[in-house]
Amino acid sequence: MVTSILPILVFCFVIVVVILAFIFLLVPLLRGIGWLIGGFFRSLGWLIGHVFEFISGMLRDTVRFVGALIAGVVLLPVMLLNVVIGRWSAAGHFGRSMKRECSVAGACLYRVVLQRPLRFLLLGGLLEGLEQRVDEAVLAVPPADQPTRRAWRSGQFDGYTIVGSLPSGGSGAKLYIAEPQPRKRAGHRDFPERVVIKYFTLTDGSTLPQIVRESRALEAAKQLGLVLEHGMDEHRFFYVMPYHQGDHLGIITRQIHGESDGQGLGRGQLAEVLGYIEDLLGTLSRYHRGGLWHKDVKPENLIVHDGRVHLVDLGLVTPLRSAMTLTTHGTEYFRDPEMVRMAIRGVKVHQVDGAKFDIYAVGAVLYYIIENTFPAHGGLSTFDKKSPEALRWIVRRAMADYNKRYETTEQVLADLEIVRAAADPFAVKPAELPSMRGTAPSAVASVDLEARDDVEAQTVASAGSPKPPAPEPPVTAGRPKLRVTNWWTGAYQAQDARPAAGAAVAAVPAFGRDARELGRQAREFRGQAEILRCRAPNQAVGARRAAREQIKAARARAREMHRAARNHRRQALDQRRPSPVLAFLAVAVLLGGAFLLMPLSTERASQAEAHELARLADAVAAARAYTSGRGLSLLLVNDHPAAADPLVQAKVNRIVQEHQDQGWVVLIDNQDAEVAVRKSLPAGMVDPGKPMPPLLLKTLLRYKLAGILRISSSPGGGESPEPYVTRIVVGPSADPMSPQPDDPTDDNVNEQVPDPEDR
Amino acid sequence: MNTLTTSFVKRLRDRDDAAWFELWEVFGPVLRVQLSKWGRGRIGVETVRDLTQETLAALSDSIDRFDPTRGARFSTWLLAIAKHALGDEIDRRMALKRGAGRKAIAFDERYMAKASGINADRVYEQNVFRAKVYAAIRKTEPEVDFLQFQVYRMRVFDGQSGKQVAEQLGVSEPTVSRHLQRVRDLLRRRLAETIATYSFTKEEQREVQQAGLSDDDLMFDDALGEIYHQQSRLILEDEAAASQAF
Repeated sequence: MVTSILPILVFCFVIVVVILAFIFLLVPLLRGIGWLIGGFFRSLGWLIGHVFEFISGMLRDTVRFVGALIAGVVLLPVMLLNVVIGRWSAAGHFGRSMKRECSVAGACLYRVVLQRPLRFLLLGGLLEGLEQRVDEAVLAVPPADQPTRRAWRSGQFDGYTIVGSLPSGGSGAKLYIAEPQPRKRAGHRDFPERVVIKYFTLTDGSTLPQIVRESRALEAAKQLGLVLEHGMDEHRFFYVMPYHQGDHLGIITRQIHGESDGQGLGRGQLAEVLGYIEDLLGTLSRYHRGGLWHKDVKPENLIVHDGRVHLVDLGLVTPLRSAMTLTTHGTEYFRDPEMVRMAIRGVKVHQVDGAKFDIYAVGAVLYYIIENTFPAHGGLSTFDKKSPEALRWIVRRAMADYNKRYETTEQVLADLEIVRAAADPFAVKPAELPSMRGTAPSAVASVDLEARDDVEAQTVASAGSPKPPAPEPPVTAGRPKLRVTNWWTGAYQAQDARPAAGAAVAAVPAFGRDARELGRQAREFRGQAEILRCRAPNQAVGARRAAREQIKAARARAREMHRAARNHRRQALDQRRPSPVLAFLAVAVLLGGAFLLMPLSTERASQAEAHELARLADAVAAARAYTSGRGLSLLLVNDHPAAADPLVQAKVNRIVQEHQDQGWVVLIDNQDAEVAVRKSLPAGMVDPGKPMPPLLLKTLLRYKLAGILRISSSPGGGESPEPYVTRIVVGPSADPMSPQPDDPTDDNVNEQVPDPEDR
Repeated sequence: MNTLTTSFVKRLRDRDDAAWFELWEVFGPVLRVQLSKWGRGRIGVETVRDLTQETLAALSDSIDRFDPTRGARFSTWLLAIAKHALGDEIDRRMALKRGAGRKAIAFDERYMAKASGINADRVYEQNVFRAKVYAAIRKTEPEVDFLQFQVYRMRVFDGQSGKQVAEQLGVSEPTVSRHLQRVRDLLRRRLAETIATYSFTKEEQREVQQAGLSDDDLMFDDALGEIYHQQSRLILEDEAAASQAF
C-alpha cells in the first residue's frame, strides 16, 4: 500500500516543485522579457514621435517663414507708398506690422536653422545660454548714461556728476549713478563715493500717483539713512540714495546653484546665503523699528556687495501707521496672498502689522535661495532640494498664515542663528529652535547685527541731508511705543524712537474708544439680562432654568465689563489730566460757554430725553416680540454638505415648519440677504460668549432680519448627516454652539436673545 | 445645486472681489495649463496669463445669464469660457473681426447644457478636482495650530514616519497621532464644503469617494498626499512658465 502511494506522492511533490519553479523563476523572467519588449516599443514610439515632431516642426516653421516673407513683401510697398504721400501715421502702422512679420520670420529661421536640428540631435542644452542667459542680459542692459537734454536743461542734481544709469523699474522713474562733487562731500567724510539718483518728471513718463507713492515715506527713510536728500518742485522730483554696486541675489542664487551638485546647497554655500538673510533681517528690523514697511522684498531688490546684502528700492516703502488703504502692490510669489485679500476688503494699513508681510517675503526669499525657484504656492510650497529640516521649518513659519507666522524679524533671526552656528546644519532639528522652545529672541545676535548696520547708517545718514544725523534707536524688539505727554496740546513722545509727525494721532482717540466700546458692550449685556428676565416666565420650566443661568452669567459679564470700562476711563482721565494753568483756563472757557448755551442745551436735552423714551418704548416692544418670535424674520442659511439630499431636505423642512408654527417667518430663498449675511459671518460662526459681530448685526438690521437659522452637519460643520440647527438672533450670545435639550424646536437648537438697543 | 454653490455664484454675480480672487487663486493654474495645452506653439506665456484673466472677465460678463438647472458641470463651465477666450484671441490674430461668425451671447450659454459639445479631457477634469482638494488644504492650514499642520505635512506630504516627526519636533508619538487626527478631521470637513461649493452636479460631488478620499484614515492620507504632490507639480509647471516670462 505504502509502496504504491509513495510514487504518487513523489510525483505530486515534483509537480508542485515544478509549478513553484515556474512561478518564482519563469514569471519574473517573462515579466522581464515583457518589460524589455515594452521598453523597445516605447523607445520606438518615442523615436517615431521625435522624428515626426522634428519633420512637422521644420515644415511648419518653413511655411510660416515663407508666409511672413510674403506678408512683408506685400506690406513694404504699402508702407513706402504712405511715406511718399505723407501719411505718417499709416506709414508707422504698416511699419510696425512689417516689424512683426520680420520678427516672426526671424524666429522661424532661427528654429529651422539652429533650434530644431540641435534638439533633434538631443543637443538642446547648447542653446540654453543663448536663449535664456543672453536674453536676460539683453533685457537688463542699462539705458542711456546721461539724462535727457530736457532733464539737463532743468538743472537738477546740483552737486552731483552723472556717471551712469541703471535699468528702470516699474515706477516710471529714471535711475542715474552719480558721484557727489567735492563741495557736497565737504564736512561729510563718510559720504558715499557714489550715489543713485531716482528721478521723476511729469514731462518724461512719470505720473503724479507714482511720485506721491514714492514720496510719502521719504522723511522717515531719511532718518534711517536710506535716503541722503530729496527735492521736489513743480516739474521734477528726485531723491538720492547710497549706491551699492553688485549683482542682485537672484543672480547670486543662480550662480551658487550652478556651482552646486544640483541636489541643493552644501554647508559652505548654506552659511554664505544664511549670512545674506541675516543681513536682510537686520535691515528690516531697522525699518520696522523706524515705523516703516518695505513692502517689496525680493531677490532683485537685494544687492550683494562686499559680502553683504543691501536692501534697495524704496518705491513701495510705507509707514506702518499709515491711514491709507492697503494696496496690492508688490511682487507675485514674494507678496503675501493674505495681503491681497485684505486689500480687497479695504483694510487700512494701520489696522494690520505690515512687518509680518515683510517677514513673509523673507521666508519667500529664503525659499528661493534654497530651491532656486519661486515659492509658487506660498506656505504650501514643496521642498525638492536637499536642505536642513530646521531651515524648512523657518521658511514655513515665516510664510505661515498671517496670525501664525513670526511676530518680529528678531524671532526669525534667533532661529536662523541656531542653524547658521551649528557645526552640521542638517543635524539641527526644528525642536531645537528658540521659537519652538519658547525662549526669547537672541539679543546678542540683534546687537551684533545692529552694530553692523549702525556703521552703515552712520556713514550715509548725515551727508547731504539738511538735518543732522539722528541718533540710532536703542536695540529693542518691536515697534516704537508712543507716549502722549500732554493730552491738552496733543504732544507725544516716542519711547524708543524719534517722534514721527502724526504717528500718534490715532492713539489718542483709540484709548477713549476702548473705554466707550467696553461701556457699550456692558450696556448690551445689561440689556440682555433684562430681556432674559422678561422672557423667562414665558418659557417652559426647563428653559426657564437655562434662562436664569444665562441671566446670572450675563450679569456677571456686565459687571466685569463695567469694571473694565471704569478702569479704562480712569486711565484715560489720568492721561488727559492737564497742567493746573491750562485746566483753570479750560474750566473758565467751559463755564462761560455753558452759561451762554444753557437755554439751547436745555431745549436739546429735553428733545433727546423724549427721543430716548420713544426709543426705549420701541425697544421694550421689540423685546416682547422677541420672546415669542411672532412676526419676526429668520433667514435660513443652509450649510449642510448634503443639502441636496432628499432626507436632509425633509428634515430641514420639518425644522422650518416648527419655527413657523412658533410664529417665526423663515426666509428661505432670499439670496441677496443670504449672500450679505454669509459675507458678514465670521469664520467658524459667532464666537461663543461674545457679542454678535457688528458687521453681522448691521447686515441683519439692514435686511430687517431678527436673526439666522443656520443648518450645518455639526457645530463645526462636521461629517454628521443629521442637520444641526443654530438659531442666532440679534443680541450677544450666551453660548451659541452648545446644544440645549430644553428647547422645544430641536435638540440641537440654541439661540441668542435680542438686544432692544440694537433694534 | 446646494446652497453653498448658489451663494458662491451669487457672490460672483454681485461682483464680490474676494470671491473672484478665490476663483482666480483656485482655478487660475488649471486654466493656464489648459490654455497652454490648447494654444501650444501659437500663444506665448504672457498671452496665456492674459487669456486666463480674460476668461474670468468673460465669466464675469456671462454669470448673470447662468442657469444652474441645465445640468452643466462646474469644470465644463470654466472650460467653455476659457475656450471662448482663446478662440477670440486666435480669431483676433487671424485678423478676423472679434468674435466673427459667432455671437458671444450664444456661445456663453452653450456651457449650461449637458451636451454642449465641449469636450473636457480626463486630465483637465482631474486637474479641476485636484484644484478643489488643494483649495480645501489651503483653507485648513490657517484654521489649525501651526505645529499641528506641520505634523500633518511632515507625516503625510513629506512621507516621514511618525517616529521621525516626533523626534524632529520634540513631541511624543501619541501627540503626533493626535495632531494628525485633528488636522485630518478638519480636512475632511473643509473638503466636503469645498467640493460642495465648486460642484454643480452630483456626479462632481461623488468624485471625492472615487479619488479614494474615503472614511479610512490611511487611504484618505495616501490619496490626499498624492493629490497634493500632483497639484504641486501642476503649479510648478505653471510657475516655471511664468518665470520664463519674467
